[in-house]
Amino acid sequence: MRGTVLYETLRRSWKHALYWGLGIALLAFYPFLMMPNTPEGFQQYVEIAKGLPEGVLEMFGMSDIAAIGTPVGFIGYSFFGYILLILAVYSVIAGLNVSAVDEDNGSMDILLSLPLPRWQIIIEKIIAYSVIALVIALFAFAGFILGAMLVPDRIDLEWHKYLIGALAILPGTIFMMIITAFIGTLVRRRVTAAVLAGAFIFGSYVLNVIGGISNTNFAETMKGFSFFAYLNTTTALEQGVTIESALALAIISIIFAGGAVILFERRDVSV
Amino acid sequence: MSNTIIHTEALTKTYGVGTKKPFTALSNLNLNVVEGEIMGFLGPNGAGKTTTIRMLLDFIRPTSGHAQIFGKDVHEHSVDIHRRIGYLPAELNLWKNETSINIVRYFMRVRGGGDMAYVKQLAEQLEFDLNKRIRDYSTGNKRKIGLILALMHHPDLLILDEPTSGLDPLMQQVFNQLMLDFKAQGKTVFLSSHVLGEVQEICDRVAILRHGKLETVETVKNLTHVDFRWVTLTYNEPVRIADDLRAIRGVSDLKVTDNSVKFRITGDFHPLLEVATRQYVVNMTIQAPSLEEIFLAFYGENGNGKIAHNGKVIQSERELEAIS
Repeated sequence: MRGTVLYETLRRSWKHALYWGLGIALLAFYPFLMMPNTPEGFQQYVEIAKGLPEGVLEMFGMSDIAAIGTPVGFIGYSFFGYILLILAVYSVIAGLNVSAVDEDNGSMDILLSLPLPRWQIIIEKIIAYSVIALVIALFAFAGFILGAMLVPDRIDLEWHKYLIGALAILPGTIFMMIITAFIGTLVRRRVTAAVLAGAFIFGSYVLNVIGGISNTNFAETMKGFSFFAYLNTTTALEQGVTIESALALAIISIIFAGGAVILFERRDVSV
Repeated sequence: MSNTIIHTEALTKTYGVGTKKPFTALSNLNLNVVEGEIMGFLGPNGAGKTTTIRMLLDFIRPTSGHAQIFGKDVHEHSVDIHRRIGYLPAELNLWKNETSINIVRYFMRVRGGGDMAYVKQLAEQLEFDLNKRIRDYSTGNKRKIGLILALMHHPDLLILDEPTSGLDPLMQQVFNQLMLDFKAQGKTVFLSSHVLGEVQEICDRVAILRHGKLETVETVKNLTHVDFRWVTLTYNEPVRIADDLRAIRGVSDLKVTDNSVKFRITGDFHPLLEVATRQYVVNMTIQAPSLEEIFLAFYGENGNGKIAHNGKVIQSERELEAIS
């Protein structure tokens, strides 16, 4: 039956979705609590940022220090600067759950004995975990809105901008999940898959940081290979991600999802 | 003529093809299981039983040869075939935090419906609580939920990998009855085991697999015709009647150790009991022969005792005992 794996995955994951959503909503809400209420207050943050090494600034996506002195820039850096690293944990867990966990603990045997094509297991689980990622993003949106309601006099942004900003975390989150799912179908063992996926994400993050610090063309080019580069922390809250970035990540995600299906269809399972 | 439900032709699985140490788990298996029979698939651990079952279910793909179930290729028509199959793996690993009833519902949804009344009836027969989480079940109870999941959709074919392991003797009787009821409906069972005694009551035929090769397919009647038992008698004083015991028809391989005597016996027990009680018997144990022993006895009687173990040809039971 079509949709059964999707439904079952959502049924089993709703609590996790709730916990993740609440956590991310808190992280979206928190910067509003910390937001200064005077221009001097913002300037203090700018001064602190200026005192930090370039590498540290780049680690949190602070390529434009002056922007931290604005409410939108402040929220952007305080949330988007690290949120993908946190969501990487969700993505890796979800990606492993696509096939590697069931295969590693032996429950894939009983699942495959059901009248289910292998592709359906992979595709419906990827869709389910993408839906959960969307729910988490909507929780982030709720966190933004609640935060904005807390300080209406300090930030003036239309509600749909918050929605665009919250949805900006989706492409990277889903991309990381699909990459992990692909690695899971390739290596079968969850620990190995987790280590490889973690290495890929960390490597991509390092490329992004080094590309931001270094002035060489090579570093700039390499930064383009980092999926972290698609999220501009300065503009994410107002503009979300660019169509080109979202499209590029979506295409790569679809290719890897297809690769995961092909690998899983063709090979021996649970050997 | 009966329909062939499972058919394999030169089915072979070699792991590590292209590596320095390829390992052939199953070699040229030709097997037919017909409708309405219970076929036991016997062999020691590592003989290739699970590999065969996993190929039948399309979990792993053969290196060469092919297999059909219900006349359809197991790979190309796996979804159609799985609709009509109930499967119990040797090691059932379900989602630990889920309750049995939730898993039953999930499987019903995947199969497009189900018979909850039948599930409850099975649970009652097996004395099984459907409302517990998987992590809270004992090994025996995990086998029970496995059986329920295999039977709940009224399949036409059951493929069971070591179904009786972990079941207590009472539950084994319940299991046997379930299988006989299933067979009475004209349905087919293919089950693996490494202990003939556990399945001989219900199997019509058994296929014996050794070192990845099918050695024989026989009716249980034929196999157990050569059946024998190991008997150990313990007396309250040193054994004085060894020669009398040795003289009983069907007794062989007799060994005396202080107050005990151990021997093999084929045939009726009455002559033995008449002689054995000439001394005071403290204890008597009767041990079923291992599958290897039955197999060797079977082929020995047919004048073909050449069975290989680790590349060495074994000519006698004594040799086999020595290596085991």
